[in-house]
Amino acid sequence: MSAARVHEKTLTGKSLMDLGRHVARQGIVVYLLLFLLFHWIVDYERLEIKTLNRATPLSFEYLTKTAEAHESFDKKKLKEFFLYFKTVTHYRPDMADAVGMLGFCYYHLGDSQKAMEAYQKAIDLNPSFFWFHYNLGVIYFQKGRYEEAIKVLRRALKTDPLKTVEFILSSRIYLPLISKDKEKWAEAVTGQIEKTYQKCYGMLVLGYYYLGKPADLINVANYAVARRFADLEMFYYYMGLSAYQLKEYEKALYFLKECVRVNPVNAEAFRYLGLSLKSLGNQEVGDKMIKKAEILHDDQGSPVSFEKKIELGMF
Amino acid sequence: MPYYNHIKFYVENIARGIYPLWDPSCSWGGGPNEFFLRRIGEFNPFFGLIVLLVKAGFSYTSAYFVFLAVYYFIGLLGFFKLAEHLFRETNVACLAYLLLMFSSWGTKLFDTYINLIFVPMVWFFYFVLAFSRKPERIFFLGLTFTLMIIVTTYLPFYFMTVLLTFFLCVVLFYFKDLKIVFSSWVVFFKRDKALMILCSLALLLALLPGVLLYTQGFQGEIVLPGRHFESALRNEMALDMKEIQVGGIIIPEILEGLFSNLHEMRLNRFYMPVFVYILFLIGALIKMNKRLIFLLTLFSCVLLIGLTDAAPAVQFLYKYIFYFKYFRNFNYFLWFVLLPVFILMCAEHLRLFLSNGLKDKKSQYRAVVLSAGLHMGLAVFLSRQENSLISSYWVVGLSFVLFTFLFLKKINFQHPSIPLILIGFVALQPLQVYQALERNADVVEYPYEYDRPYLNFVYFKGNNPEKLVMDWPIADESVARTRLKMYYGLNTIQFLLENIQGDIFEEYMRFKFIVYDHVAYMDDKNISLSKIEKAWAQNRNIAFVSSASVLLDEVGPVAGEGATARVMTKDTLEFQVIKFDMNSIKLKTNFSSRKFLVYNDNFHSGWQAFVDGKRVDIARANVAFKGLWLEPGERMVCFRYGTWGRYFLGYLLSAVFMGVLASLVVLWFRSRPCALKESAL
Repeated sequence: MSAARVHEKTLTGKSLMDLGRHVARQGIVVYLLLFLLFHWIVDYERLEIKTLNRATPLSFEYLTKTAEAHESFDKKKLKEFFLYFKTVTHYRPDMADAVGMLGFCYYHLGDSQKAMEAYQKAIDLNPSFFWFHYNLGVIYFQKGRYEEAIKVLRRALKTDPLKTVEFILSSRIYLPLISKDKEKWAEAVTGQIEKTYQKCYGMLVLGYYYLGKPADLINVANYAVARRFADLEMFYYYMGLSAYQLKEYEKALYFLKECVRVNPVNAEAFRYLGLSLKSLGNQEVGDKMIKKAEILHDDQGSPVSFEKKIELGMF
Repeated sequence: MPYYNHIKFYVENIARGIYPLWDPSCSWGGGPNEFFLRRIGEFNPFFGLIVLLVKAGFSYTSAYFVFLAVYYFIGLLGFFKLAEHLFRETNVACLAYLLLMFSSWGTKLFDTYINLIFVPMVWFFYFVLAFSRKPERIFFLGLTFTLMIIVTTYLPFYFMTVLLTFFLCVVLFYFKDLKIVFSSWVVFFKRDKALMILCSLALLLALLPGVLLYTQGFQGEIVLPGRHFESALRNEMALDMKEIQVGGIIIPEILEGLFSNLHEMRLNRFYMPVFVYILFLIGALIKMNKRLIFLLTLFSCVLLIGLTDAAPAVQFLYKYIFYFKYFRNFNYFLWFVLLPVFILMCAEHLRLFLSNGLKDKKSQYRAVVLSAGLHMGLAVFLSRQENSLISSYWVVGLSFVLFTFLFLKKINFQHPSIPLILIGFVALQPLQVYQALERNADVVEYPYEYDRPYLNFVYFKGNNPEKLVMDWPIADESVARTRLKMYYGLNTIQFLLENIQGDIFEEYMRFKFIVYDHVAYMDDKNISLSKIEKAWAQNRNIAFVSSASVLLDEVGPVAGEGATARVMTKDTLEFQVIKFDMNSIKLKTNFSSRKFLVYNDNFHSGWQAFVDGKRVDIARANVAFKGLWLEPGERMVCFRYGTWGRYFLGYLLSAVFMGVLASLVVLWFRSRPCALKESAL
């Protein structure tokens, strides 16, 4: 090999070395290499678990006790739980229970839009869980979006309560929220679901009433009455009202009579009873009933009193 | 407020001339205070500030706040000096100082004790750097003093980890310079042998309390169930790997909180002013120097350790380095290492970028274009975050203007007015963030133990012996829960807490002194809990002791079933408390017959008893407490905790710490004129 070629090769090697050194000292290169190194070394799964563990509140007592007492949540205190569920959904976006709880927190923090989105996502992830449908239905109902509320509540009624209980008992998210005695709790929650199913019917009746669909209303309310659900007075009242609107005064008379039998101080029922009687030609008794209604001035059986009872389940 | 209790307890006692080695008022029936003294580092002369302020009429809480703030700013000053020494540019150091001051580091004062570790640590590294560059007495003394504080405060293991990592990085990057540094040190040590010997002695002396505590961990009397829970090691201070894993640095959580939802700022959240990210991004445009790579390596190594089980470093260190089994909360590395080192790195980015010339117009305009892209990129990134603060955009916009002026040489970064401009840039966003923090901060009514009267002796808990409000933790059905309740205490009281029925235990513990006529032996290996519970519930006139020797000589017949023990509720002619402090109690008794006195303060081998000046053995009575026989007639009884040697060591070390600090201050003032002269030259 000639001296010139050796020199040329050394030069090439040297300049390559210089270039390499130059590149290696560039800030962007060093930081990128470091990032890749960390990416390779760090156990991301472990980091995720640690993040979730760190975010877990020490106690869920505030959440459960406030919900049980039907009290309103302190936003500051609720924020801790909100952040926890948000972290869980960030790392485990497919956990329907966590998404649902996030929706619950959003709702009580005053962001109904985000709450609805969360519940819709929870439904997509687990369509067989009663409470996601119900909670979404409640929000739609409270927002006055009755068509959507009815659609969701109808789907809620189609869910299997057993599957709902099973899902709760198998959930890691609900575990700290439920009582230590799982069996007793399951029993209690089954009863709670039953009551809430009945509330669904109540909301459906009101929904149809607000949408001006008396025939649908009577259908739903008939079903509820046949099964002797709670709030019978309300079902009879709205059935009577709808029958009156449909000018089926005989039917209206029957439903309203049943209503005042359940609650003899329901002023509105007496008023429509009077009006129905008058429509049927019984002026004297009709006037009497209307007068009685004026005296009672009671708001029992009015839509407002039932609506007050509607609230989200803690799911 | 971290350590409010422990510091208050120490300061209030030391102000009364008592060096509190025992704490009779702690919830677990009294225990050695060494563990908590090690936590606060009681020899730290700066605690004297609290004593002075309290003597001047401040409330303890105010004095404590003043101390925290002063100590914090001493730490920040150390950081500034360190940065100044590192960069040799005052304005860059000033920027680093401002970034640290406006980060959430300051909020840590109200959350954890790490300020007590950070302050001496940052000054230590300043002194190391200064001493390496110029071996002078003041720096060596400073090194010694900061080391003395570090080894006596909390666990020096955090510092040791940082120091070892630092040293490793120094060897890696400055190996050639080490020879020069060491040779200059050797010259210094040869010249100042006396100082070196004195400093070494002081440091060795400062190591003693830590060693004593470490050896106590092997004795088995002290237990830390909350820490030691699952550790297989014999030393009670040791931790299981699982415990260590809990407290690692959670990167996703930190990153999540850096940019988004800053209006939800809360205490304990990691935060840095947005200006720091601009400086960080500049790092992509510079050519790295050795110092920056050194800082980056140090940062990366500590981060790997701080990640605990999410990275392999800690598992390895736990296995091979003994002290890794004795400390946890590795997330603190984030605060006192990663944060300041990151800020130093960012400051170095700026320094390098500005020192890269930008002499010709072309390179200046190129820098402006790059800066525009960088600022724009950051603004876009911020806009994509959840609820970005408006002030963040202001900082980004203004920063672009500042950098444009700097690159186009319209202003000089060395100009004396720069620090004022920097305050505006750095503080703009933090002001909005801290406003949010104030709004979001939870007001927690935390019951501080030593805010209640505890310095004087009381015969019973509460005000009324008939009806007492107990704050004693009830041993419930769950042993695990009880364990969690008890963080630190003695093994015997832990046994009682876990096993004795809660209400009976509470009732018994109401009173400090109980006088019995009879004593029965109860083997530690075969403790009859039902017997104890029955005796305590009925206040039977019989005490149980675990030492057979007490019985062989002294036991009276176990008779008089149904007779009750005498509970002392006030000073009487038969029983008087003459003197009481944290470490001792002096009694005068005058019983008509021989009695067995049980002092319901935990038994520990460090206690001594004297009757009429003569030392007598203390029996462990009723499983966990102190008991002794008293002959009829007038007797002076004294219980005292700790040896004279231990007290002497405490006072000696306090004096040594004071002396070293005083020497340091004197040397500092003496060196000032020289420094000024040098800088003038």
